[in-house]
Amino acid sequence: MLDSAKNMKTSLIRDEGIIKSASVLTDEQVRKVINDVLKNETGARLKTYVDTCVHCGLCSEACHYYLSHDKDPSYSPAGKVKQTMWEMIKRKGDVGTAAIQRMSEIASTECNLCRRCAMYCPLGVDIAYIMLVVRRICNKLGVTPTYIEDTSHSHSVTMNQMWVKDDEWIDTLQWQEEEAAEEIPNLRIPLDKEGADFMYSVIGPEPKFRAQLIYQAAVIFNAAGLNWTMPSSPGWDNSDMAMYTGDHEIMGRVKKVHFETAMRLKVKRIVMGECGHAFRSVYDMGNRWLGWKMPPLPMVHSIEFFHDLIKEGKLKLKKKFESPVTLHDPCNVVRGRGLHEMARYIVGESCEEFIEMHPNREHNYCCCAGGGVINCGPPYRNTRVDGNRIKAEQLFAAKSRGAKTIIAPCHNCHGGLEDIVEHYGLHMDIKFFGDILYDLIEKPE
Amino acid sequence: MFKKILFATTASPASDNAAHVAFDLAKKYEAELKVFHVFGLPSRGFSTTVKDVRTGEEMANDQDYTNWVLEEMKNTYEKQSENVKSLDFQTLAGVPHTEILREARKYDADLIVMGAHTREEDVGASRYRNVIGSTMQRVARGAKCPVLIVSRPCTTCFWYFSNVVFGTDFSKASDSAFKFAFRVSNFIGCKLYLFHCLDMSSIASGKTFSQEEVEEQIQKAKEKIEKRYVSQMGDFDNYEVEVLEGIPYIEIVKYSRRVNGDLIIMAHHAKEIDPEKALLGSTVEQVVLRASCPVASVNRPDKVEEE
Repeated sequence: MLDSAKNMKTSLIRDEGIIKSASVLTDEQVRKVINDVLKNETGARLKTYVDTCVHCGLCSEACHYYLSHDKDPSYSPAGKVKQTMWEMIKRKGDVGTAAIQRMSEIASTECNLCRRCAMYCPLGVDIAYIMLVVRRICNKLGVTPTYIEDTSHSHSVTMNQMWVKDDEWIDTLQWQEEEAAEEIPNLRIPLDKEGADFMYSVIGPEPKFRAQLIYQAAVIFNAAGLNWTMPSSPGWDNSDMAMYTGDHEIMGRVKKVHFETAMRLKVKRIVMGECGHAFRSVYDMGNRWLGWKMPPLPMVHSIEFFHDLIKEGKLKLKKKFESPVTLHDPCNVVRGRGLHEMARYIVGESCEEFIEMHPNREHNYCCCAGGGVINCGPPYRNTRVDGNRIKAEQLFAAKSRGAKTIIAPCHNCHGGLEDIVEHYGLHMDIKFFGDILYDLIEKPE
Repeated sequence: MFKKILFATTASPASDNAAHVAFDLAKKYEAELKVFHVFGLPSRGFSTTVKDVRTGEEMANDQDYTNWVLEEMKNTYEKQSENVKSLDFQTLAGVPHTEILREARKYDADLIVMGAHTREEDVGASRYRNVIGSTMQRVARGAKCPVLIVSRPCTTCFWYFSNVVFGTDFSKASDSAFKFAFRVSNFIGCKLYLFHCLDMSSIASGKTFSQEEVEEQIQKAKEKIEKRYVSQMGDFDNYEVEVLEGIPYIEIVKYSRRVNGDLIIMAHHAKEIDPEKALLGSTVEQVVLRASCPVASVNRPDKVEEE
């Protein structure tokens, strides 16, 4: 293991955002920012974690990076903390500008904040929290990977992740409404309908790249006869990359707009699309940064929402999905919210044959795209694909028992698994619950 | 005939043949022409860089680069731009098929012109090959207006077309394709060939037909063409009906060759299997790959009704 931050290996990837920002920093600035954050923002939580960790190493086996790199200890959760936060504390912030680059890389791209390690720590240390503090320190120093920082800027300027302009958003909804109305006459995507039962919010990439998903959701809601709406104003995007850069100030602004939009529309609750990190932001981190212990109005993830619709008989399926499926449990809605049994209920109702991957539920391996890692962009593609060989092995085992389709109810998981399936030649399909239900439900003539 | 034409270009030599047709059409019909180029994004994580089509290098996706691409597009098409009534160039970053469909709707285009697979010898061809192929299919499937796909040099030009081949499978989408085929033939005053192929591939038929059955079905299909299409053509009598048995995409190409077809018009079905999943692609794609003439895909009635 590395003894000194000053001797730490340099960054593995050339990321202009990290290199350029670090080139104008002084060691003194690094020291000051580290100490400011540690002193003013971390409090008892970090101190408890640091003081209680007994260096037992039980967290190692939890981490997909560690397992995928032949148990290289520098990839174990404790090892990653040792290379970052422990150095910062031990040296009282005096780690220097060279080390801070590698620390940013470790925290931003070699940890998905998936919290699988927290399941294995006998003392309950939340290592994801520690890595987030490291990210925040790096972000305050401007040393954050370029791509995700750009995304965070988009949040700041437009209140959405993809620089989608206000008129483009409305235009996309109208476009998808027209398309869907060809299949189901009189179908509407109701904009700004005050007092609707729920506001449906999505992530920025949907209108930009995957407008079809909005179409599918509209058809499903229509078939279930629901009273719903989407906002015409900023606040429609529930995603949040600022949460993952550690820029809590932007995170707070973005979440505030999202909640306030729902309140302005006087809806009874928010229903979120199949995205995991957005759920973490709305349900756990953003609301708490804003001072609400729980979200200020009821909100559910699509898994819970679909589960209820099927259970209550509002969605009727005309047949079951025939090809054998396996289910990938996304960290943020399973370890973060416990929706795994509801997801299995939907699978049971909608699919002929279900093959569990192992491990599963709260012990499932991460997709390696989440935690903002995929949003750090192409420079880190190999980091996350090579860094998740264990996932390929897990999927292959499910495939060898017959699974052909992977259901992954999370956008980041989709992106990560697509790359893994392609890189390791697994030839498996990846679907959202929305894809499956859209095909199977009884639609009005 | 056409008022607004959207030419979706790869901004590379791969689209030269399509460009030729697009500009010619715009001049002939005094239509507005929009030259539209989407540069693909490298990955799902939204990026600040794009890959330059010509050099394959990473470029910063900013206003300077966009302006430079626009300037390059204008230069490339400078000569052909003369005498076009109204010409506009636009470029942006995104998923090509999504942005083309979005723009076609916004612009209210009544014809989209695009190339198909890029040629091997182009710089970046191998990289773009799959993208362009699936872009073409996805646009053809989703567009509300006819999509003219030009993958080879077009020896004739649109108003010189003398033999239009309409291929049908009697679907609802084919009705729209027929409307367009008839309108074009009637407008130009050329011959219209109405063609259907009895699908004999074992996958489709599931069994071996006796010759009597084949002939019986051919007769039925001919009657269907008379009833469904010919009855709508009024005084127009410059047409021929043909039904053959075989593999549809092969037979339509062979038939077109036999009658010197210079434009094939057919439907690309909305409900067809996801083009990314289908190994061989749809009939339309197979025809585009094999035919020596342009192929127009029409899926919906919106833009093909008589005015």
